[in-house]
Amino acid sequence: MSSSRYTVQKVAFGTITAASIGVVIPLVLVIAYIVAQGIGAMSWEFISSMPRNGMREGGVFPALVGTVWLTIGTALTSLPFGVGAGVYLAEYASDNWFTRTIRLAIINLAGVPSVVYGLFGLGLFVIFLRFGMSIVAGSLTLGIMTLPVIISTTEQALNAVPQSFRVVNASLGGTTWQGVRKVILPQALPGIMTGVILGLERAAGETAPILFTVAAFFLPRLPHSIFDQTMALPYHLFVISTQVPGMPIKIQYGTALVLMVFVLTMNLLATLIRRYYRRRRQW
Amino acid sequence: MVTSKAIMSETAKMTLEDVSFYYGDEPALRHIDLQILDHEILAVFGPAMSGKSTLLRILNRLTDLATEGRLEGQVFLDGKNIHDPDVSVTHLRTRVGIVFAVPVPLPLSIWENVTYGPLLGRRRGKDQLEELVEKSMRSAALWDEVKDRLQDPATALSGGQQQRLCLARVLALEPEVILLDEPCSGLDPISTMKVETALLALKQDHSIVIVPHNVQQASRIGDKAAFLLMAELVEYGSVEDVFTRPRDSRTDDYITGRFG
Repeated sequence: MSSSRYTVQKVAFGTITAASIGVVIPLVLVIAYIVAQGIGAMSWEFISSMPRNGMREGGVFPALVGTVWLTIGTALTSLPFGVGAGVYLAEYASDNWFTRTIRLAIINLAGVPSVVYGLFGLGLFVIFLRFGMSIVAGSLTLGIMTLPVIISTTEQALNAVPQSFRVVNASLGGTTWQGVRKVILPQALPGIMTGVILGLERAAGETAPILFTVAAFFLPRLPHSIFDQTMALPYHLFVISTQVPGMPIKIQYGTALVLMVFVLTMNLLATLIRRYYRRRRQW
Repeated sequence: MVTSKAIMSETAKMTLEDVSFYYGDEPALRHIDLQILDHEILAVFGPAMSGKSTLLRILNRLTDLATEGRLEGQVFLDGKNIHDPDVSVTHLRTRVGIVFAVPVPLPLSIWENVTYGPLLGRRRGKDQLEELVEKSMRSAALWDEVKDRLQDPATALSGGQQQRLCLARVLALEPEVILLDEPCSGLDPISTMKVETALLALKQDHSIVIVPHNVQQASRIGDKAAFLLMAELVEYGSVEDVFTRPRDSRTDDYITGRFG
């Protein structure tokens, strides 16, 4: 009878292994295809020059700059509030109906489609607060969209720090805040940073929220202030792929490649930070 | 224990009056009357789950951290109720320091661990800190072993050294009362002896309450002994009386090893 157990085991493992390989193949194909199609467009000039001739020639410089600005703006708006809320929920909030409602709201916010955030940003920031289509409006919209990710990763990173450190801090006469600042937060920082970068990386690649709030079809110059519109890589990619006739494929995939490298670089950064600190961790 | 309250509050460093503690509906301690005297070591012993750790944590209000916990009765430090609204709980915890059974060094250097408590309250000069660190670590019998590597991570120390570091960390608070919850539970005999020697020296100018890790340790270093059983204080008296002439048969049974 026991040989049938091993047969089942082999079949099960075989299925799982096949599924894993099946998952990896399309990922590898996507990356390989974009690299293959886009590498020909890649040059320093492509990254550092303005688009020319109805964007059919030249580079992606203003879109890349816009995406960098938007990523920084998103970080500035979501980081203080997100980390603050995460610290509050993990370290201060007691477990009652109010905080449970907040947690539920955060989980649901994470599930709201990005286009809905875009529409919300249009209504609140662009029209009601009169920011117009601007980097401010776009950053705030992306920031709000990123908040749930940052809040929950912050809370999880803090919860992963042993409770005994909090007891020791209290037993030595420390206030909750002293414990958070001197011990708990530093220990949770790598986890928080990883979550923040992953959240920002998603924001950097989003199209729908910036479509309504900041992204320009084409601008002949770089933005001068945070109340200017700007081009951005994801929307630029959408535009040159669907809105401009006679667009060379090389330029389209070149743009996709730049966006992908930008996002993957952030991903790599997050992984490196996590690995560096995990090796140094003492508990 | 048949003393009038007036005398108790005059002579006792800490006094518990009719103290009960509940985790939810579960009583952890019931109607405890107890006093802790200056320059004495009180050994609180009893089987697991008898309420020893809870008793210690009540004395510096670490039980406040248990959200489901509920305290009845009064606890006095130098005649002052420690639950009075004008008592600062953080200051109380520096006056009544605690060392836990499992040493938990903070993920900092040895130096930062010892200076952690002192620097929470106020700024101090480097000279003053160095003096305090050396004094605390000497008292905890740790100085000679680690004086040359104070900047090393505290987690790099051995278990016995970590426990003495935790003692030094509490001593750096310059507390008046020291609570020790089985401070030798994970230690080898040599480390245990070092800790015990340190404690005997410390009682010159501290009150000490210890949950010993066995009856032998209680009789070795205790002046007074209190026997807890199922949340109740069964017996309290001098170590000689409790261990040689126990009044309660349950104490006798416990120390002679008939149960627990």
